[in-house]
Amino acid sequence: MRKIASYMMALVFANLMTTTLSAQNTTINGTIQNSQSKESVAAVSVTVKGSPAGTFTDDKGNFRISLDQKLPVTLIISSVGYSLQEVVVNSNSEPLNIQLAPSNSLGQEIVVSASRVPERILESPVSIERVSAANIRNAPAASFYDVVLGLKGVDVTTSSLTFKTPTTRGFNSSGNTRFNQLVDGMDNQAPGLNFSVGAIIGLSELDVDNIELLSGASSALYGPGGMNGTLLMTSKNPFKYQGLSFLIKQGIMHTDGKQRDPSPYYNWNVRWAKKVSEKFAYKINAELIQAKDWIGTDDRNYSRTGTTGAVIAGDRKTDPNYDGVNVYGDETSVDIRAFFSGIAANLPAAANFIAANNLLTKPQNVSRTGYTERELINPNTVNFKLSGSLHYKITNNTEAVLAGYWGTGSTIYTGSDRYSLKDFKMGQYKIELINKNWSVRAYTTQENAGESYNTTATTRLFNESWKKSVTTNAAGSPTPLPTDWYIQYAFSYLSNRMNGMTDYDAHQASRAVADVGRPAANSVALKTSYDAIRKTPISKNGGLLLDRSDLYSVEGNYSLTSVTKDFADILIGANYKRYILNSQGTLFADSAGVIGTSEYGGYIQATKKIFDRLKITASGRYDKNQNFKGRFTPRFTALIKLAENNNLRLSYQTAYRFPSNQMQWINLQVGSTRLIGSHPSFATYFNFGANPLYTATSVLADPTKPQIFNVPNIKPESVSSFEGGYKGLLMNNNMLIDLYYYYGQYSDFLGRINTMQSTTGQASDLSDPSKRRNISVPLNTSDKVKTYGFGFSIDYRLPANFTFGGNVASDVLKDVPVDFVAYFNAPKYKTNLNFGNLGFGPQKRLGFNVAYRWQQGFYYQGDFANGNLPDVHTLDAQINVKLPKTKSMIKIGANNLLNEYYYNAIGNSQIGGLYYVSFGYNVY
Amino acid sequence: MINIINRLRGAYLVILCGIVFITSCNKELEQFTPIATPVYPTGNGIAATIAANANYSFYNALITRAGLAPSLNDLTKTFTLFATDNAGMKVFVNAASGGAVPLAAPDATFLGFISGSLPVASAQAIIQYNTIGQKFTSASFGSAFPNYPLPSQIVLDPSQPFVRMPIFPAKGTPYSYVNTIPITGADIAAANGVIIPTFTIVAPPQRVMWERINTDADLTIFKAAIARADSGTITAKEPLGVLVGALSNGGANFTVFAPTNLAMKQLLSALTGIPVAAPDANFIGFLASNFISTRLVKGIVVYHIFDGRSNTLSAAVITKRPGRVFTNNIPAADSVNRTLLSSADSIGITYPGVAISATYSGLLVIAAKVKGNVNPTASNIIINFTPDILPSYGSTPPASPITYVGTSDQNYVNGIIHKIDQVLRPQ
Repeated sequence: MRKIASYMMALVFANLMTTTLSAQNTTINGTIQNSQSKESVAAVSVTVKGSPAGTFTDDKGNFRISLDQKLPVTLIISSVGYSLQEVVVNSNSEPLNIQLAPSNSLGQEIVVSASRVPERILESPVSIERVSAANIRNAPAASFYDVVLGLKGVDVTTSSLTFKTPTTRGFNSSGNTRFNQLVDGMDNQAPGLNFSVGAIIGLSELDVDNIELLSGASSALYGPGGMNGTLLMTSKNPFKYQGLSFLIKQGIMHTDGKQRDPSPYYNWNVRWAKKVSEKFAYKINAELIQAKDWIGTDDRNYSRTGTTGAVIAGDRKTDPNYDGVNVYGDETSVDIRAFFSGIAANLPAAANFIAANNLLTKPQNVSRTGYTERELINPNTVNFKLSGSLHYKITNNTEAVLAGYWGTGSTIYTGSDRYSLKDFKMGQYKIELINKNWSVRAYTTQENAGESYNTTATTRLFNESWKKSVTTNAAGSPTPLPTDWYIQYAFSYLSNRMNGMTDYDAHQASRAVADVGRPAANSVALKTSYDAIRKTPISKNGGLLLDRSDLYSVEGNYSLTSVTKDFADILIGANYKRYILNSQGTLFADSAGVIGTSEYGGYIQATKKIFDRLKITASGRYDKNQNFKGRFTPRFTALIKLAENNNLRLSYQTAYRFPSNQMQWINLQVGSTRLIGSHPSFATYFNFGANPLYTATSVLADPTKPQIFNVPNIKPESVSSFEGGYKGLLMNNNMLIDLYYYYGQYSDFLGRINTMQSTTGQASDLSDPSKRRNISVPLNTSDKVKTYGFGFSIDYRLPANFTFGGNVASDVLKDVPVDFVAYFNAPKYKTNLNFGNLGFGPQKRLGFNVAYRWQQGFYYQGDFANGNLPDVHTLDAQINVKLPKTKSMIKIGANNLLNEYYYNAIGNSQIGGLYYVSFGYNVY
Repeated sequence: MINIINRLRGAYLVILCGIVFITSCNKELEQFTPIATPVYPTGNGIAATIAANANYSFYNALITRAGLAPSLNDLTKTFTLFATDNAGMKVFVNAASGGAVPLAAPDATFLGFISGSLPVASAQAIIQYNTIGQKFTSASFGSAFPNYPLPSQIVLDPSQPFVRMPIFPAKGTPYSYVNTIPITGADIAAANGVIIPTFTIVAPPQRVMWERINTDADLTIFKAAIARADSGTITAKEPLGVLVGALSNGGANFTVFAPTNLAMKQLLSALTGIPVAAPDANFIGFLASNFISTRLVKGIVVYHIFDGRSNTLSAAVITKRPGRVFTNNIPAADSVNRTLLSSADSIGITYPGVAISATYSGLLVIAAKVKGNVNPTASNIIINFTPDILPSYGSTPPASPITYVGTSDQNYVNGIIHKIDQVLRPQ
């Protein structure tokens, strides 16, 4: 091992020191313009044929290149969206003026993520989608992140305006732990949450160079977590993209006043990049988004048992135990029969009355009166991102980068409860060395939950603050007082029934009595008390999350191709991650101190071309988490060249994920249930040995025959996926076709089970709801869950710069055992259609794009709520005009043009239309 | 080429129109059939039904006097009303007027008394006592023994409004009763409930049991026994003592078999040799002395009380510890029932009960007995149903001592007193 390490160090060192020291004596200046619009073109690659010398045009389209060879030379001019051009330079006495012809060619993009080496997208051995800066520029989307959502096979869960969670191959939710998101090579997850918070933290729109989406399993190259896909976002290099850019979007939301009054939408971007010299460049970016967010308005009644349940009939008036999906505080529920029993035992007349009216024969659950989301949260989304980087070219081949990405935002999302992420902050800071053959990167992610709080829990506590539900003693046993909400309710109910009222009227009257003193929605009293509770840590009986978790990571990659090229192209890499969980007891079981968890892993990939028609790749990765056994994940791919620009791809991929930090360490009361982690220390703390857990289903079925649940040691979840696909250009390269079919099998699926434990230590007390607690425990299911699906896309370049594209995809879950909650959350079918024009009208300055998305309805499963989601249709559109003289573009667009509200998940915000106009300067 | 573009434009237009059409119909989340809210009946309510029946014109006048017609006609609620016809109302008015309105008086005289002389509060109390929220048909009542108490509309404790003055219907064979008043006819349906005819008004009690025991000239020795039983139990929490406190508590529900002074003397004479003819004070003094233990006195006193409570929630145990027992509830055959003494039951010790039985002549109880565990013979319940005082509504309780006429079925807010001629002895 030590020998290998020494060898590696020597290779890196040698590569680092390979510096070109030759003199430079010829300088060529020039300007590059769009041959149609005559606008200068920035970030165009200018290289000298047969020489390593090269540069990029600046923001004014100018370039200057120095070389150590005499004229004539041939310059190769290339840029995505333009035809490749070669220019022979015989003289450098006058600056060159090069007219670059726009090209609408398809399939020419270069992708990196599929094999960790650059390759044409047509030759990717696995399914991959790519979004370029040009795509973002022309997309009918208010945010660059929304462009991802229109890609083939992508499902999205929209939690709020700024928090959207994409995934592929199913299993989506608000906060997806089966999908990786990397920003400039860094894992973008919030360490305490184990998922990325959309694009709230990361790149700003003007700094996005490209986005690549790997559909399906990708652990073999990117490590644990990417079971369903990996999204890689890459920012613009300041050596290439220079100058000042800004983009101002002003919009309007809630135009119909359905959720809130019409309100403005602001999205301001600015980017400044400077190539100070051929060695040094830097950039700085800032983005601000501000709007009044969408709101969860689902007030349907929900029947909740632990972390499962279903939407049911009834409302606040017709169901005394009403628990609205987006109504909070009404999760507190008590069976008031206990009070009736006490009364009956002392008052024979009341006993007869109670018996005659069947008040004890079935549960009489009554919920506290809740508040709607709009009465409580009134979310104002603010998202501010600031990033910058310093780039220094140590040699022509080696660049050092010091970069920081910081963001803060307020948004809402749905986990086991509804959460408000308020003033959430996260910073990612990295230092890396990038060589064409290797890279070394160290980075850290620093999370700060700010004033984020659990809305559901906070509202329940707020209700307790103005009137206790039922007073308890220090031991937690009920010691009811006449001032308690439920005492007042039960007494009033019984009295009203004795007065001759119907059950319905008695409940209404009793709620009115018990609610005397209830702070009105939007009142000062509510806000003052509510704010105090939400700012109190969960560990101190409040709703505040104090998450300050961090992630530290070091990783490196090396291409051994220079040594092994006669055999195969070989790439190796390794990484080390350490999570520091720090929630001060508000999320994790870390009251006594922070929790450290380490992971490390390494991979090797070999690629071999055979007969110029077949490229095979074998990859393997080994990862180890300190709390779990190591896992090896192989990947095999084959790319078969059917014809030029037409390739068939086959792959077998595996992926897995270690139980998330939350699944290992969470210790959180959610509603009436406590979620605990899988770590063995929980068994000790809750004394499972002497006071065992029992399955909730057995206790509820017959408390006299509870079934003991032995807490298992859980294992990482894994998936094996077979995939075949085709990608090719047809019709004179004007049509790009991509299709795939996959089949996957999940093993050791990670889930949860609801259990109960006696609070007295006596199993015989399980029949008494006041003497038992609900505990949700992680477990692996023994069932193997299978998925399969397909995707098909077509991109067609029509005459006169018209474009048409469409895709359809399907994901299906198969062999689902009865009562198995898989959280698959993917429509069986979904499609995207787009139609646009990249340039028409005078000097082809005008453009437009219309995109339509449809997804089939499906049954959504989440810890917070389950239910049927109807079909979703959305129509996005934009029209733009380019102003070449000022290097600017004006765009008018709409997300959800027809303002047709829709949900992506039960319990999430309802999404409506967003209309905007933008002015962009020097947006390339 | 232009032709191609023109053709394509047409196709695009169709596609766009199709898209716009499709996207105009995002559906709302699935909704469920709403839970039905009550549909209230139509027609004549309780008061209107009474008003429409000529045989109940006096009772209608009583409802009108009480001002409770709107409440009884509230079709959003359901009620059970025990009401008596004009003949029954005459019996009531005759008694309530102290005989001033003779039974043979013209109807107008009765109506005049009801509408003018009877205090409004009294009319309200009568109606409220005879009204039960919800619909209970006479067939739904429990069996005659012990009886089937139900909460009336008189609230005894405003802080706990379900604590109501109970009324005691009982379904017997062949006769059914409300308290001691026979049910005389079939149920009369109303849109919002049912009217159950009774022989006469079922008058609500106005005083608690202790007021009678405390003032009855014939219960002074029993009262002294209660005082001795309570000795040492007077605290800040129980300023009256446990037993006196309970007998004064309006929320309680007792039957007290109260031995007359003669009965008490006979027992104490046998124990002490004090002649039965000796003054009451001698026996009262003995009960206060150390010659007899508090525990023994307490045991004897609580052996004379049915409390209607139980050591467990077992329905069987409740049945065996009845609460308020009217003589017309007592079965003809001996029935052994446990008393308040059984509240002292502990593991391995079960205190004995008392046996009760009654003899009927038609609707009326002509004799009733209660026998202690070791009494050689049963004690007689001294039959005289006359209430302790005629309802002199609005008057203050009389000063003691008083010679009361009534000896059986003396109904109070918190229980019933039957005088007996022997002290009951558990052992």
